[in-house]
Amino acid sequence: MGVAVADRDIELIQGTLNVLILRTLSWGPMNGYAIAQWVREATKGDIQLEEGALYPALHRMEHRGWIDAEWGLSENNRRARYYRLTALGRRMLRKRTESWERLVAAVGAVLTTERRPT
Amino acid sequence: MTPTNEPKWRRYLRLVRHDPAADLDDELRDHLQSAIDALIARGMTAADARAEALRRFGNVSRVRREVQRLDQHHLARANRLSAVESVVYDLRHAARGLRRNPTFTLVAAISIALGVAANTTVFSVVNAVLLRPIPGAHASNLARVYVNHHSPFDWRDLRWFRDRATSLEELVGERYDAMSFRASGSDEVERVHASYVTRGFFHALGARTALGRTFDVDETQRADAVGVLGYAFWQRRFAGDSSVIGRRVLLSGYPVTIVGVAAPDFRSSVMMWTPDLIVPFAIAPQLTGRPLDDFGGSFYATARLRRGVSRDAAESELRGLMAQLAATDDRRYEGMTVRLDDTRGVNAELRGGATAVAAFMMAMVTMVLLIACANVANLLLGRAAARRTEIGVRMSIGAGRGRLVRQLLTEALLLSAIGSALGFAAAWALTRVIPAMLPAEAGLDSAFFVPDGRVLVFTGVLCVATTLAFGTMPAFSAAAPNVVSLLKGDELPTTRRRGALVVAQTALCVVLLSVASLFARSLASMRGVDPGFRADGVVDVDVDLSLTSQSLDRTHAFDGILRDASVLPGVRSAAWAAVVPLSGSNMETGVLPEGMLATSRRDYPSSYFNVVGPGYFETLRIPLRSGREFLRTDVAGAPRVAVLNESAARKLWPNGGALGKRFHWGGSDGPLVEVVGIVRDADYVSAGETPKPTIYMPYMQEQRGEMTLHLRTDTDLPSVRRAIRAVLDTWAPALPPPPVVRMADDMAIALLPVRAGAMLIGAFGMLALVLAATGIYGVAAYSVARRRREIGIRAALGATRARLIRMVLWESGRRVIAGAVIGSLLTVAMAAGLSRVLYGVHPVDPVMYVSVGLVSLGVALFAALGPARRAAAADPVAAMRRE
Repeated sequence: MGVAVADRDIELIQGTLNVLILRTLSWGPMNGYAIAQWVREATKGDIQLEEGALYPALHRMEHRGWIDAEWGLSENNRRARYYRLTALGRRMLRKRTESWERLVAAVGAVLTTERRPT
Repeated sequence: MTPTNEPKWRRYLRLVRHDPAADLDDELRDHLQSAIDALIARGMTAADARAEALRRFGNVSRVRREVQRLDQHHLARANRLSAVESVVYDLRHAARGLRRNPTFTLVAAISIALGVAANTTVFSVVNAVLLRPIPGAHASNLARVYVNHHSPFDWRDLRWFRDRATSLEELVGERYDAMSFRASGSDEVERVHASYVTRGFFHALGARTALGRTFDVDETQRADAVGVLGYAFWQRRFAGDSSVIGRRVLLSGYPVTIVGVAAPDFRSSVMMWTPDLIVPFAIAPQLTGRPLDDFGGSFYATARLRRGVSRDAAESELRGLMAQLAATDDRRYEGMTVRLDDTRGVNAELRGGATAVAAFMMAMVTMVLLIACANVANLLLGRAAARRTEIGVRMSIGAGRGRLVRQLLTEALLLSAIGSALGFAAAWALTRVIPAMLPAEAGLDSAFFVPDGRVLVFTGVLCVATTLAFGTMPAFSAAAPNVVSLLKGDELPTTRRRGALVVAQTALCVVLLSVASLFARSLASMRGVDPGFRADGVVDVDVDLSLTSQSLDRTHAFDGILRDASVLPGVRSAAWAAVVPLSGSNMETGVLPEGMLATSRRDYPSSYFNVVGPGYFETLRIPLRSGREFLRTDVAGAPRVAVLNESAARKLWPNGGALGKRFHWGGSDGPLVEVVGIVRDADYVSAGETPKPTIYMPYMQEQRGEMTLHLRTDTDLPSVRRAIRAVLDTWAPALPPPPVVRMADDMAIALLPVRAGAMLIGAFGMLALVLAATGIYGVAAYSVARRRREIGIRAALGATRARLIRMVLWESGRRVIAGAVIGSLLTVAMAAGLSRVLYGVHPVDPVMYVSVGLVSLGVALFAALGPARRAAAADPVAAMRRE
């Protein structure tokens, strides 16, 4: 999946994009463009999505029932597809967030330890 | 994709028709256009904004392809799931419908069950007799080998091929013989079916034992007399006692040690059933007193092909070997061929007849099933009529016709599955009973006909075919396209269709009944036919002198027994014979009139023969045409003599003058025998046969160990039994009590297959009649219910009760008459095929057709009488008001 990371040393782990999308949608229904903007602003440009990569992820999660989609009109009166978190999606977000935090804490503990293992 | 300004109307089109590809385009277009708009708002030129938006987005067409692939995958999966769901839904719906109407379900399911049971049972028998290969570990590599299309091998030829064929792992032969059998410590003597088998027989077939071991005895060695019991015989005769291993029995008076019991699934390689006892051919000289090479062309051969050798390759090798034989001086081999065949069912010699019978029986039961199908179709049509409002509602709220048809067919399939399951269970039970109805000598265990996988597949196919046969028409006519008329409760156009079903049913029923009655009459005329001899008043005593000590002078003993038996009180005449005519056994040999030159074996005239004694023709009342009977002076050493029947005389000397002529007995090097008498033709192999050329030889010149004493007597069986016992004690002291039966009973066995067939077809005919009557009743009842108002009006206008009844009866009656006429015509069309299996009855028999037609009509009117009386009894006012 085309998640490009611009100039920085951050590698996105597979599935991270899903969590980002789910988290974004937890604020309310959005179309693909809005999701991309929101991610860009929230990460202050540290993670620069190749925006097209959102769509396979969105459709896949829709098939899995994590998110729902419906047609609406965007600001400029264009037909736009709005995604919304389902109950299942909310549960997935919680689970993924917890495991992400555990991972970060564990990796952080290793990286910040002072003592050499005996 | 580049964002463009699409015409606005297309958006509204999307609302109506779902188009995933266009939807995706819209979604991506919105994204890019939003990005461009935002960039322009920040001050970019339109061209830069577009370039930047596309850069941020990445490869548009790749994203689109990826998403499309995902969506399609998902859609296909969803479709599959919904298909399963709708089938489950249909099944549930069907089950509910069937539960709601238990009478309908019961009658329909039983109709199908009867038809399927008849078909499955007959097919199980066909499967066992014609389709099932010889079982055993090597089944796939086995082939039967025949000489001249389907004939058995001569023992010497079998050995010759066995020693030379390199494409065969093994070549084994089996020969059937009836022998006398006595267990040690028992007085009871019985006749058993034994098989002589050649070297490597059990190994070649991969046959296993249930108990003990098999044997493998080479014919060149002098062998111990051992035997393996057939499983069914072991169960029947020894009650499955395992201590039988190592026990000695007397086979044709010679001690044989039992070393094993064949596995239950073991079958003869010739027939489909199990011999009672299997012994090595190597001991035949001990059992019979004749050298091995005396055994003629009666070994049925089975080959085990070498691994990797095809049947064609093996066959062409054997053909080459046969060509070598044909090139020798021995003229026997001229024009002889050799052939490999599969091992299914009985051997090829019997297969032709069995296939014809099987096809005939299958046709009969198919008709029964078709009648059952017509019944169920009738019921379904009636049901569809009753449900027309429900169906109308469903169609008006948008259920497609195809969807409704599918649902109705699902209901039909469920019904058919229930009926088929019941039918299969019934067939299972029936097939376990069949062996018990056959003579125990057939050696069939109770599992012999029981359905196997092939039969199960057959029943499954039958179930689906049945569904289509009875379900298609009602389903399509119920899901009629005219919603409005359905909702209004108008009639479905089913009445005429149901009428047509009654016609078809009656026609099939008449065909079955006609065939059944033809068979019954054929059987009657077979029994009534003059066999050419008189069996009534004759008692048969089977005497097997080979059961006594070998030192006994048999001819002397036979002579003595005959002399004493002839003077017993009540006995008017007595005579010996080796074979009882029409009892199921016979003997055949080649003969050559003196002076005739035989160029090859095929030029030998062959003739049936029997070995009899003085007084034979008088005792059986076979008239002497010319010459004389056998005399006490026709003994060994005296000139050899024979009596011929008229057919044999005509066959050997077509120009007449057979009396006084001589022929070579058994072949060109056989002894010369003079014809001293000619008698009238008599049945030998089967009742009512075309006369078979038969030669009678005197037992004094043609030694036998086992013979039957025919006694023409006025006394009852027990007295004969007692009296003959005393005679035998004098002449053959060690002999166990012999079987004493009436000759007529002996012959009844010969009629058994015909009688069983007539009974079976009669049963099918009755089944058909009952099913058809049910159908006629159903249609009449429905039609009366439908015309209640019209009948009410007629009654109100003064139609009499009798007139109304007549009207309803006529409605059924005219269909039945049409059906009967069609059925009779069908039977006449089948007449050519039938005349071959019928005896003494012409298939085009007006009396029979009229009586079958009357029976059908009577049953039909009886079936329609109930509804007719109900119609006439109805209160006209109430009937009219109810509408």
